[in-house]
Amino acid sequence: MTKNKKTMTRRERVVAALNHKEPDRVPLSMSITIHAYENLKQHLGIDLKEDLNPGRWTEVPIHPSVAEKFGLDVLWLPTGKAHKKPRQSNDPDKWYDGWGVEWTKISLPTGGYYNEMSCAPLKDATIEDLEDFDWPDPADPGIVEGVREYYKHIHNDTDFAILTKFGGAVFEQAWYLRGMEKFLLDMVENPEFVEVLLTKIAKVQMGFDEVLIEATGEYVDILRLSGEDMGTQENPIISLPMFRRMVRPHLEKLWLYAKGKLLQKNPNAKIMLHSCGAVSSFLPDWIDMKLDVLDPIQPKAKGMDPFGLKADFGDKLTFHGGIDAQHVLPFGTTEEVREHTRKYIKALAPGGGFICAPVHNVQGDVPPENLVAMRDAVEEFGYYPINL
Amino acid sequence: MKMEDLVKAVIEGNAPVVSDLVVQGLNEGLKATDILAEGLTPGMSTVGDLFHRGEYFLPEMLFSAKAMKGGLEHLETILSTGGSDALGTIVLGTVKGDLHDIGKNIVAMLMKGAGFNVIDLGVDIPVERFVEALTEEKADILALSALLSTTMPAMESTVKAIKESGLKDKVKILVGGAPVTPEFADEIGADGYSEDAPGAVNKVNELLELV
Repeated sequence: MTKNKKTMTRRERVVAALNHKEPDRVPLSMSITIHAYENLKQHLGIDLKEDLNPGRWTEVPIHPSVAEKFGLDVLWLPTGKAHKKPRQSNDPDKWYDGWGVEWTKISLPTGGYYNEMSCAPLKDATIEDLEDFDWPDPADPGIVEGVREYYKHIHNDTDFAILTKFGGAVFEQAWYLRGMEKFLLDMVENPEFVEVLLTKIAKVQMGFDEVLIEATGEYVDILRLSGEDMGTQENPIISLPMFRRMVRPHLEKLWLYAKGKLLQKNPNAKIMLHSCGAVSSFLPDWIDMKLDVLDPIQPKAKGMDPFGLKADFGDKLTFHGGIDAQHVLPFGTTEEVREHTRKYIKALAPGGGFICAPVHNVQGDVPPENLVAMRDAVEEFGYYPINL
Repeated sequence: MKMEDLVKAVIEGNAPVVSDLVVQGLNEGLKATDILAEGLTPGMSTVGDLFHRGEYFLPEMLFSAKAMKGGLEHLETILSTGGSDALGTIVLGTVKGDLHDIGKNIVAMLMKGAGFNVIDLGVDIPVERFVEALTEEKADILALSALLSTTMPAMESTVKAIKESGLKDKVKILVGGAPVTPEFADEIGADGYSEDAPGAVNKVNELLELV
């Protein structure tokens, strides 16, 4: 019996899934926050000292040896940090990112902390102020420093598929800069401001894509274009006509640029959008905008039934994600995790086009046992042919 | 001033017209309570329905809420001198450890628009602050918000603390936010749950037996 036998390397498995071909087994991917990562390492008995430098969302890169022991097929690689230091705060719990957004470290009842945006630098800005704003500089040499060498090492010396993010969100970055309520109101009462702001942000993000694709493109398997959350739990944040009128032109230009440049470096590479929430009504537009991979298929959001999505869009989109972070992973039993993972494999895996992953950076409230249960379920149910 | 014009202007989010019509109504001798109950409230209630049905989205709802708020400002001094005009007092906030507020803010706006006295404590609110405000304001409802799975335990401990305090029989507790489910609400002993902001207003009406 050939079932449950790996016949592909990790990268081959991922590339097959991305090309809508059935690999030997459903690939597994994951991003994780620092506290959950430390818990997982301890649970797996990995004694590895790392100088972890969490990102804005307290997420950390997973070390290849941890990814190997846990059983991931995809590694999410970081990029360099700008040499120009962001503005400093006198408050030890506050800090600024490269866009000038103020963040505050907030202690969590479950232990550890989370970074939350606490002040939007453009909250009172006018169109004229946007000209003088201190935008991040993609030409900062720190952005690409050491990056090519590291990506090349992972590509040549391991068989992990490489997932990364360079220039990020446009719509979402706009409300980080403006404040969410203010920006959403701008979309109705101040569309000229929105147009200039999105243009400015997209230009910066395109600059990051340009220098980093140039440095690493041939090693990248999946380029994540975002966090570009377009959905709430119940509905899209903005209507489809508003998206088409005000947001799509900026994203389309950026995505097509990034994809075009990436494909010149690696003809097999794919572009992925992360967009939380109830976003199914946007999918035809995103497909039309040449999107390859959709993340995360948020199970508890309205209209995100995996069987329906696979039937409607499975020939066009690869799905990355599926494993619920709002209930199953933090609060479910290992048996619930197993059943949930089985359901998503059953729905999304046939014919390829599915990379199983938690729908969000795994948070500190997720027991490592549940992550292991997810991995074990992929091992138990994820071998092709899928017959569940 | 025709009430239907005021209702329409709220639905369209036309702030200058809402403001003008409210002032005009007051000048014509209409009662502030009637302008609220027959103009602003039905306007915002329709906006809530449109949102719930997926015809309005957050930008349109915020736009209407802003217009409603402008109109309400003309009425607030008159209404508050009247004392007991409000349908009830609601204290709301996002629980300890959670800084997210757009959902809570929209609930607050819709509650105001529906004629409630709303005390919005803000975000990252410890249990003691909720207890203090509920006692001071003699509130009828506590509405708690959380966006993160990691702050849901703070929601649970807040509900527990209220239920164990002398406020148990005086205050009904409503919970909401993206990861919150009706099952979780039941489990932690909350009195009500809603999946969205318009539903929260209906739930409060139900809990206070106003419908």
